[in-house]
Amino acid sequence: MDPVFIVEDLGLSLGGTEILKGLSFTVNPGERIAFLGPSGAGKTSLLRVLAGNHQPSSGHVHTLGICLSELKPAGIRRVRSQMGFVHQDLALVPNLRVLQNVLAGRLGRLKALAALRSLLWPNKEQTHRVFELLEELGIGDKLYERTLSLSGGEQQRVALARALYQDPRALLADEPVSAVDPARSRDLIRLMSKVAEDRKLPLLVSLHNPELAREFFPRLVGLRQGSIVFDLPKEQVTDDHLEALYRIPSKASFPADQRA
Amino acid sequence: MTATDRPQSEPDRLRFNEERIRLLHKSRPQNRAVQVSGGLFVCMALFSLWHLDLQWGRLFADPSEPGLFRFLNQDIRPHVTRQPDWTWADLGTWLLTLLRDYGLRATWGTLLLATAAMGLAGFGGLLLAPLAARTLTVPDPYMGLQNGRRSLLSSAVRSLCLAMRALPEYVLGFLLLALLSGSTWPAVLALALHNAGILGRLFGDSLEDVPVTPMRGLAAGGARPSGLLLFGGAPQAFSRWLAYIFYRFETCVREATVLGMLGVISIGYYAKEMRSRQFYDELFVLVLLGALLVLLADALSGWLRSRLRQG
Amino acid sequence: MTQPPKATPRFKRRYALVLLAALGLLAAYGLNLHWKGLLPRGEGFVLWKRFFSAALSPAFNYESTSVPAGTPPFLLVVFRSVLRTLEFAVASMGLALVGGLILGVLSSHSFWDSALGQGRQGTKLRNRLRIFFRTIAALLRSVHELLWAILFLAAIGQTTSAGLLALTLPFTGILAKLFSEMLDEAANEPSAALEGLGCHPGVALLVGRLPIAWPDMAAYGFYRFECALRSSAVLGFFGFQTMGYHLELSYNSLHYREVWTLLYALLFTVWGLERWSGILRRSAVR
Repeated sequence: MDPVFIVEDLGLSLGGTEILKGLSFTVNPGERIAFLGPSGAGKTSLLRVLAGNHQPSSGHVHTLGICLSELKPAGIRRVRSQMGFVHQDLALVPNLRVLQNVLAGRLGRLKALAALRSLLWPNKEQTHRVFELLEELGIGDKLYERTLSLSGGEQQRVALARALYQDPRALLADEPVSAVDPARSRDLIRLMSKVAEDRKLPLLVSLHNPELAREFFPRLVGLRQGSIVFDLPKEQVTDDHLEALYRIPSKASFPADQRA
Repeated sequence: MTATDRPQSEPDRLRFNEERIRLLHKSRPQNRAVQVSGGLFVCMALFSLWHLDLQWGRLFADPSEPGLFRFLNQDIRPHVTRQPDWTWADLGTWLLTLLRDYGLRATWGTLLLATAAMGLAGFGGLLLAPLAARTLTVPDPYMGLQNGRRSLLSSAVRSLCLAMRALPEYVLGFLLLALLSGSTWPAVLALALHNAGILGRLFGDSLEDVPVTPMRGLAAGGARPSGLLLFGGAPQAFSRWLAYIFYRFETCVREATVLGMLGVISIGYYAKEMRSRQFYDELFVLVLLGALLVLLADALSGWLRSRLRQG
Repeated sequence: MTQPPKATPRFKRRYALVLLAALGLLAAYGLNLHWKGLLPRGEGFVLWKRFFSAALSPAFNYESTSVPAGTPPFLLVVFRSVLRTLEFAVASMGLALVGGLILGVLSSHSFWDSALGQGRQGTKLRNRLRIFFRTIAALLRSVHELLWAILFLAAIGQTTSAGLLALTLPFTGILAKLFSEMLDEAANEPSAALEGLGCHPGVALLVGRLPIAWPDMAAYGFYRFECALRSSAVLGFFGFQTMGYHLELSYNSLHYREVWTLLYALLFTVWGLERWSGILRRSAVR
């Protein structure tokens, strides 16, 4: 099977600051990867590039066999609509119902008018699909609740449901558990891994917590100051690797051959 | 609901889900008041549009007949430009004469009217505010012992504020016109009363919303309500009061452009006169002057408020 | 405002109050206002007494004994004038809400920053268009309803459409300004996320931004509805058959008890609206 993402020498500058430099890696279908690293390491930006939200400043990103930088806006929108993205702040519309927030996941596939119609008067089939998704995530009976009235954990499941409803080719999540307590974040990451595994979707998650990453992700990628520090199967990631990742910056730089 | 009592076969499962969705949909949270109000408003609007029996004919009438086209083409055109051989200098002279004869005086009068009324309204608001603040008028204010206790005095003062702002300024001014025979008082007082009603309530609200910790400190030290007001409430609410005054000032100027029709030398006064004389070109210039004044007041108030927010 | 009072008084703000008071006094001086003008003099006193004692006994029938045959009963006239006042207010608000929403979206940053958001070309043009619509809104609202009324009366004569336009245009401008501010202040993330998953920018605005701003917009719209009611009543002073018309008529014929009936009817209508908005507010909080 073809890789889902091929990243070659990716660089990204936003507003004059260099955020990512010289990243190269490949993501195969069904692979689950956790991106680790301190704040400001470029995890969020990397995910956003993969989702088609930022254009790379240098290098190439091939998504599903298509080179992102060669695409016109319409093509980029098509790529975006195939990437399920769970945002750090969830980015749900608080006073819409859960059903509508999940339905919003498909808006990218539809023409403007059809999109509005599906939101205001969803047909039976759409409602059923959303309901079954929510059931799978354990919040089926919240279908018609206002999103505002749900708990934090439930809202995260809604955001996940929205991403899954997109019928994505990959699932990306940016710090999905930064705002919940440890027990709940474990549940959520477990759930995410399970749904990704069931669907054979690649799952790319940025995380702060190395323990969670080691527990659920076979492959860990460490980022620091916009570069890859290590990219290893979890068994090979040692405490030294992690310590190096979170250490206060020093003059010593990391040898490039440490990458797998 | 556990996984075991879920039907296994596909058609069964679909029917089962359908039933559950139906039940969830039936018990979905709904805001009846909003729905009914929205529906009612739309029905009322449609009924009104029909019942008002609108005649649009004159709006699109031929330029040869009285109507909007003729009005825009002829009536509001400065009369000096209706001669075949007019020059820009003629137009300038006409405009300057208009401004010198009454235009500037009208603008100035409008500004004076708004400012005087605002001064009075601010004063009235300051008097009403402490009485309208429910946290101050209960026994033992701000100590938090009688949460939810109602203050009869505040309710009464709030009702008074409501009554003051319920009547339109123009109606108030009109009623006062005969009672305060022929002076500028009716317009000023009408504007001041209406705004004092609004400010009294807004000032009172902001007195209720100030942080209570310093107030508790003062109250624990045995301060009387007047002390709480002067050393706790007023200093904390003060910048919000100023913001409200600036905000009302801009609406006040807008309202002052028409209150002059009740006999104060101002834009409305001359607008009414030009209308009755059918000098529509001069009327139009007055309307523009009024718009300019309102936009300036708007900008000034916006600038002052943004300065205030910055501290 | 959220900080405790400072030990050192803020002289700037203290002076602001003094300055405002001085400005008010100067303006009063400029207008030749004297407190003696507030007191009734001579026969004025009789007038005051008549006017205010009439408040206790509002009229239920015409005060004049020589009403021509066939005149509808007074209370019916009052009812009709209330109805007409409401009609003007509701119809103009209905139109202004639609117009204000459209103009508000067109003069908001969030629309122009997203709608054609791809690429950097046309930034200047988009900015100009936004300013153009903002200026229209500003011009519409800077002219008072009654001045619009005078203009339309002169242009298209004493028709209900003149009254309706006079109310609709300024309210459209006011609502447009507020609506555009509320749209721009609404949280960014949901609509950005929708665009992020390939959604049409216009849909992202409608689905991701408008619902968030909606409660504020509805609340403000309702407050404006109250203002529309007052303005509609005042339109009566310019020949439209709203409450102001009958107020002027009764007042000028010195029929003060009729005046008070009309005033009570107006107050009652405003109070009814206030109750309605109170019910809505409480239901929204729940």
